[in-house]
Amino acid sequence: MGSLRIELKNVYVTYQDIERPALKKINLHVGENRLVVITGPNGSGKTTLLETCLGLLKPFKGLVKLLGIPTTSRRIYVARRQCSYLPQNFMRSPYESYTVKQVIAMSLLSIKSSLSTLTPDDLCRIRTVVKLLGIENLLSEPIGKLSGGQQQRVFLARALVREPLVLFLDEPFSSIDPESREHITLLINEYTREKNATTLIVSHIINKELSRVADAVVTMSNGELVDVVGNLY
Amino acid sequence: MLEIIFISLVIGGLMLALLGYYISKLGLSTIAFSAAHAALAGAAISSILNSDPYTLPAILTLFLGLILGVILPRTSIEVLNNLSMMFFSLFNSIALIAIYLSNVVVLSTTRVGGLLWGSPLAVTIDRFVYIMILTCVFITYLMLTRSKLDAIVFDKKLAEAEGINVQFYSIVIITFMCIALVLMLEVIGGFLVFSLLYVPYIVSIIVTSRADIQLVIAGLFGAIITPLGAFLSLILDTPIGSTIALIVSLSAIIIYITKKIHGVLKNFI
Repeated sequence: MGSLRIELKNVYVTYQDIERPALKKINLHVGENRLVVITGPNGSGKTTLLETCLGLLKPFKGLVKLLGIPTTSRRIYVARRQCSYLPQNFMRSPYESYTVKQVIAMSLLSIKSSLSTLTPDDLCRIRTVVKLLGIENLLSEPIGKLSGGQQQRVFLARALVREPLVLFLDEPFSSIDPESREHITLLINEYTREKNATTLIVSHIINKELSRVADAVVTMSNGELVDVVGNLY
Repeated sequence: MLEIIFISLVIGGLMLALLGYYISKLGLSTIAFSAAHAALAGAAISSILNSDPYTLPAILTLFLGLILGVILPRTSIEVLNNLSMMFFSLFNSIALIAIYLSNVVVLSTTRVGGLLWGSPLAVTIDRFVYIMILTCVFITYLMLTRSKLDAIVFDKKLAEAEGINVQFYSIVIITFMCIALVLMLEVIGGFLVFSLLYVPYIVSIIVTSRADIQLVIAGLFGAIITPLGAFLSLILDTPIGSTIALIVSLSAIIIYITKKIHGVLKNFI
């Protein structure tokens, strides 16, 4: 068994002013070099689970550890710097003026020390990732002017360019055309294997390619884990 | 002394405008609003007690700003807005009661006049030095943390998920803002000082949609329009704070209309 990257022990999460827990009695352990798909109907708690793993939501009961650090600890920021997140609501307004290059570079600069700039190695990494995602000709475009699919690719590039140990992807195919989904699935899988990373993908639709490459599929319903198929660690 | 007042207004206008950019982008506007009135209440009480104009306003505004800053990530925007408005009412009423309780003759003094409508005479050497130091520290801080602040401005939640302590950076901005408000309060006037936080930012978003240029435009606008308003108040013999706020607001409206007309003409031609 490899080292555990994500650990949830008897976790309950609730939203403010809502009595019913959004997550109930969650026990989940995910190791390295694993690609795990979390599926389930709308409102089943998939996104809540992802945000709980990252520590964006704190459990009112139970323990959550990311890269061995409890998410309630102040050191969680250290763990998060080794993670990437693609949010479900990624769409920017048409007035958003940051260019694609700035948006991608931001994720690298934010983990560097003050006054640091992008190194030639960083620029090379950005070029490689955008090329793999087919957005190399959009680097100087304002992100707000791009289509939903293009924006989603930009956010995926932003996530991958950090070379994270843990990759959290919330509905990464929602705006991607069906023809490209297979290619992106393979890209994510390749990254996971090559970097020995852990990837959690929330998706209510599991395409053929995704079910083929996933190590495990976790099904959620009403805030509970109802089924786990495959190896999580 | 006139040069010192002029430089203080340029630098103070610049500092408030730069802070206003981040305050608005980070969704801290209502906190700024109530913090400005906490400073006003502190300054009003200080004037009755005849104590120094910095300590009590700084204590009250920092206390409120930091409490709201700590609450910020733990509550909804709606609750935060309601809390801010409640504190705004509380401190506003304290300020007015304190001014009312002071001797009527005092109302004509520079100190209380400064509280209400601002006074260039509030710029003393020590205030000038404090404004210069704060601005230098703030600009250095911006240069050191620009990449992190940009990531937060772009998407708070994503920045938090990527390991940036959003609350820490927000609280630092709130702290700078509270101190800046205390320093500029008696120069611009307690009721209008926050207009120098918001209006330059509003002008910048009217002029351009590019976030990196917005910061520069807001700063330049604040630095130019603040001494210009003060100069006009001297010529017209009107209160400095109200004149600056009037000029700032009118300029924003004129820029907005000009931009609209330009857009219509461009489409027409």
